[in-house]
Amino acid sequence: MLVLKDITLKGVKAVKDALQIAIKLEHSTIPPYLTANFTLTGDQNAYISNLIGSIVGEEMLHLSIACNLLNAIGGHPVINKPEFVPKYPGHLPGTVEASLIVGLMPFSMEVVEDTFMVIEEPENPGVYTNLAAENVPLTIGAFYEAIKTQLILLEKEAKQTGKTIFVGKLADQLTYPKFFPEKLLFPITDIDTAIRGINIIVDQGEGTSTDPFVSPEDEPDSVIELAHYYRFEEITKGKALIKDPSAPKGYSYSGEEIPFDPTAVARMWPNPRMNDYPVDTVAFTYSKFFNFTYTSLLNSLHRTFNGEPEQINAAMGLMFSLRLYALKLLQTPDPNHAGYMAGPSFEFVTNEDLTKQEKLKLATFK
Amino acid sequence: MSYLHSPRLVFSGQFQADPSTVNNDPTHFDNTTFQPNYQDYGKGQNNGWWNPDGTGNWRLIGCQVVSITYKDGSNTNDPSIDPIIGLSLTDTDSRVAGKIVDLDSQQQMVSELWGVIVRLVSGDTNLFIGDYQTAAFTNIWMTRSPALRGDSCAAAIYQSVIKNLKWDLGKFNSRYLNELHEVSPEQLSIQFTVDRFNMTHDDPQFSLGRIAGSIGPYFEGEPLHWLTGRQLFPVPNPKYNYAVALLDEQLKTLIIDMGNAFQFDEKGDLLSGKNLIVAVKTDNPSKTEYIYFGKIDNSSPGWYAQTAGIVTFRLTEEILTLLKSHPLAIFDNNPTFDFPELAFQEKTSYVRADQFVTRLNAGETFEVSLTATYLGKPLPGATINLVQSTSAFDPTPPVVGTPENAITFPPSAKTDEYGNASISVQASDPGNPREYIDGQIYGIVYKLEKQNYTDLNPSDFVSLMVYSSVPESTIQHPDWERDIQPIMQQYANLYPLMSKGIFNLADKDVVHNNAEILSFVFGKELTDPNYMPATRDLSAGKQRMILRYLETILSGQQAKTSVIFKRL
Repeated sequence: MLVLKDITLKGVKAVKDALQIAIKLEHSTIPPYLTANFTLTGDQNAYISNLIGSIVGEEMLHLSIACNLLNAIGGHPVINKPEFVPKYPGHLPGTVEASLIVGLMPFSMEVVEDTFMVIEEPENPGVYTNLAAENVPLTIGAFYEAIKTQLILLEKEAKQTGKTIFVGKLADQLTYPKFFPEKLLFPITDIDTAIRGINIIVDQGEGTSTDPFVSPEDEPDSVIELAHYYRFEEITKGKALIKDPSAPKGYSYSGEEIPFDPTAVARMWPNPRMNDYPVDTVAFTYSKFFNFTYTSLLNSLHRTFNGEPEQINAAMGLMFSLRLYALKLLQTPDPNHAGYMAGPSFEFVTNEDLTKQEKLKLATFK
Repeated sequence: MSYLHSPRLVFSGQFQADPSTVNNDPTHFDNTTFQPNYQDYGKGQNNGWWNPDGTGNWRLIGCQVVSITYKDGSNTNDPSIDPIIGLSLTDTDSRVAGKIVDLDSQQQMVSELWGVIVRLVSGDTNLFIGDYQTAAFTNIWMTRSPALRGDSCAAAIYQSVIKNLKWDLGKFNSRYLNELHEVSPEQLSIQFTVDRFNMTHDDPQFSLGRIAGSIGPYFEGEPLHWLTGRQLFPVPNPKYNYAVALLDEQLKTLIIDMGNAFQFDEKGDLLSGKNLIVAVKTDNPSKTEYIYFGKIDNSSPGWYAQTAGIVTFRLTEEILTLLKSHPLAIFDNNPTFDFPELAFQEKTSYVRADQFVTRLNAGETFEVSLTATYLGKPLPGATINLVQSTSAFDPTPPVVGTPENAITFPPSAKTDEYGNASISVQASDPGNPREYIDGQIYGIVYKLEKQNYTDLNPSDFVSLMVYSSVPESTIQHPDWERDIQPIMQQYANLYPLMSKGIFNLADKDVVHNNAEILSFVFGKELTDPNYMPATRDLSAGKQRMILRYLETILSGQQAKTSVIFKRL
C-alpha cells in the first residue's frame, strides 16, 4: 500500500496543489506498467498484456479525471515540465520516503507482486476513520477522500455567498468517447460530477473496501470489472477471479486460466537510462527517439488540459508511436550488459537537449 | 520572393527518414505469394530490403541556424550580432513525426513529406511554427557521394512553403527575424538538400542523413516547389548536378544555389566543384565570348554546412546589365585557367510544373501548373507540349502506364502574359491492370515547343497515381472476406511494425475490437501525420468502404462501459 506525505488540505489553493500531486501520481504508475507490458512479446502472453493494458488505460483515465477536476476549479494542470516525470527507480510523487521504490522492470511475477500489487493494494477500511486526525499517513484512497471532503466543504461555503468553486470553462473539459465511455470521462462542472469523478478513480483503483468488483456508476448490472489490485493478483494466481458463493469471501481465483510463457519476455536490463548508453550506439539513438516521443506526448497532454482538448488525438497517436519505439529498443542489445536488451527510460528531453558528444559532432559536421 | 531572396537563413544538421521497405518490391503486394521472410532485413526479392520495420517517420534532427542574410544583403554567422545564429530548427514536439511516403512501389523517386511541422526554437518559445506543405523531392542523383554505397551515395532536394505560420518574437531581439516577419508574415519558402543517408540498420546513425538548406520569404502566386530563376544544367558529367541562381537586380547580386550540385568524398568533404569560375556569355563569338566575374570560394572545410552551398556575388553595373539579357555559365577551375572547361550552362528557355506528384480517383481532375521562363523571367506566348511517359517507373512487373486512356489531357498549351499555363488532367477508372496493386501509375513529360525531350532535366516529370474504382454497391455493403480482408492483409504484410507491434489488421477480431480507433485513423485528413495508412495509397472508394464497414461493426456493438483501447 502506498502511503502519501501528509498534506494540509484547506482552501481551494490547497486542493489545486493536491490535484496536481494526484495528476503526477496517476501518471507515475504508467511508465512502470507500460515497461512491463512492452516486454511481453508474442501472443502467448496476450491475456496478461491485455490485463496490464486495461489498467494503464484506467490510469490514463484517472489522470484525465484529475485534470478535468483541476480545470473545473480554475486550476491549470502542469504536465510539460521535467519535474513532472519521476526518476526511476524511486519513490512515486507525493509518497513518503520510507515507502515503495518503483523501477522500470521487465515483466515478472515478482514485479507484479512486489511492486504493482503494492502500489494498488486496497487500503485497510479502518484508515478512513482516522482521516480527521493530524499527521496520519494518507493512503491514495484516503487522499482522494480528503480532496472530496474538502471540495464538498468549500463548495458549501461558496454557495452560502452565492458563489461556486467550479469556475472553470466547460470548453476546457476533456471528453473522449472513442477511448473513454462518457460514463467514465465527462465534464466536471459541479460538486456532483466532481464526486462522481473521484469515486471512479478510487473504485477502479482499489475497489470498494469489501468488494473487488467495480460496477460502473448508474449501471450496477452492466459490466463487472475488477479493481487494479485484483487484476494484478489474477496474473500472479494464473487464474481469473470469479464470483464463487462457496468461497468464504464470495469470490475465488478459480476462473479462466491466465497463461504465462516466461520465454516470451524481452530480456531487458532493469531501469534503463538514456545517458548510460554510449552516444555512438543504436540503443542511444532509439532511446533518444523514445524519449522525444514521450516528451512530445507529455507536451500534447499539457495542451490537451490547458485549453486545447482536441490535442488528445495527437496524444493518442504518440501513444502508439511510443510503443513502436519501445519495441525497437527491446530488440536492440544493451551495449553495457551483454545478453540483455535496451529498454524505454521515460525521460523528459527536448530536441535542444544535445549531449556533449552530439554537440561535438555537430560542431565538426561538414 | 523565395528561399534565395533576402532576408534568408541557412540551416544545417541531420534528418531522419524511416520508411518501411517491404513495399519497395512491387511483387510483395501480392497476398497470394507473400512469404514471411519478405519482412526480414536483407536485399533481394525474397527479403524486406533495408528497413522492413520502418515507422514512416521523417524529422529534422539537430538542425541549427548557421548564417543569415539581412534584407540589405549583408550577412553574418556570429551569434553576438544576431541571436538567431545557433538556434534549433526542428519539427513537432507535441504530435507524431511527419511521414515520408513514396507515391508508389513503381515510382520511388518522388518521395513526399506529409504532416511535417517546422519550428524555430529558443528555449520554450517557438519563434515561428508552421506546417510544411506536402512536397516531393526532385533532382535526385546517385553519384553525389561516390565513395558511399546504396542510397547513401544519392542526394535530392525538397522545395516548399511553411504555411499557417505563428510567430512569437515578443522578447526575442533579432533584427533578422523582425525583417523576415515584416517581409513575409504569412508563409515562408523553404528548400533543402538531403544526402549521405545511412541505410545500415545496426549502425547508430541508421536512418539519419545530412541536411542543409535555406528559408526565405514567399509571396502568394509564385511557384511553391521551384524557383523561377536562372536554371543551371550541368554539362553531362557525373561530377555535377542541377543548380539554380537568382539575379537580384535591386541588391545587384547574383545568388547561386549549388547545394545539390557538387560531389562529396567519403568523409563528407567537398570533392567536385572547388573554386569554379562564374561567367556571363556575351554575343561576341571570339575568344572573349565569356566574361569571367567571380570564383566560387568553397575550399575551406565546413563550407557546405555553413552555406548550404549558396554563394553570392556582388555585381558591377556592367555584369548586372549583361546578365539581364545573357546566359550564365560556370567553368571548371584549373591552375592556369588556360583552357577553361564548361561545367554548367544556363538553360535559357525553361518550363517547369509546380506540383508534380498527385493521387487521383476516377472523375477527379488535376491541374498541372506550368510556368515558362527565359533567363529567369516569365516567357509569355510559349507553346508547351505534353505527352505520356513511363520512363521514370520501375521496377516492373507489373505493367505500368496502361491503359493509357485512364488519363486524358490536352497535348499542348500556351503560356499567358505571366508565363503560366494550366493543364487539366482528367482521370477515369484504369480498371485493375496491376492486379495485386491498386490502380495504375502514369507519367507526363512536358517541354517547350522548340526543345527536344532528350534535352530536359529527367526529374521534370509529372507522376500520377490513378486508383481503381470500387462499385458503389460494394462500398455500401462490404464483406469482410471478399472486400476488407484482402486490403488489410496487404497492409499487415507490408508494414510489419504496425501489424506485429499494434494491430494485426488481417485479423477480423482485431479489426472489430478496435473499430473505434480504426475508423478514427482511417477517416483522418491525408495531411494528418496520424492518417492511416501512412503510405497514403488508399483510394477514396476503398476508404469509404472501410469506414462504412467499421461503422456497421460499431453500430452492432453495445455501448462500452470500460476503457475501450487496451493495446497499450
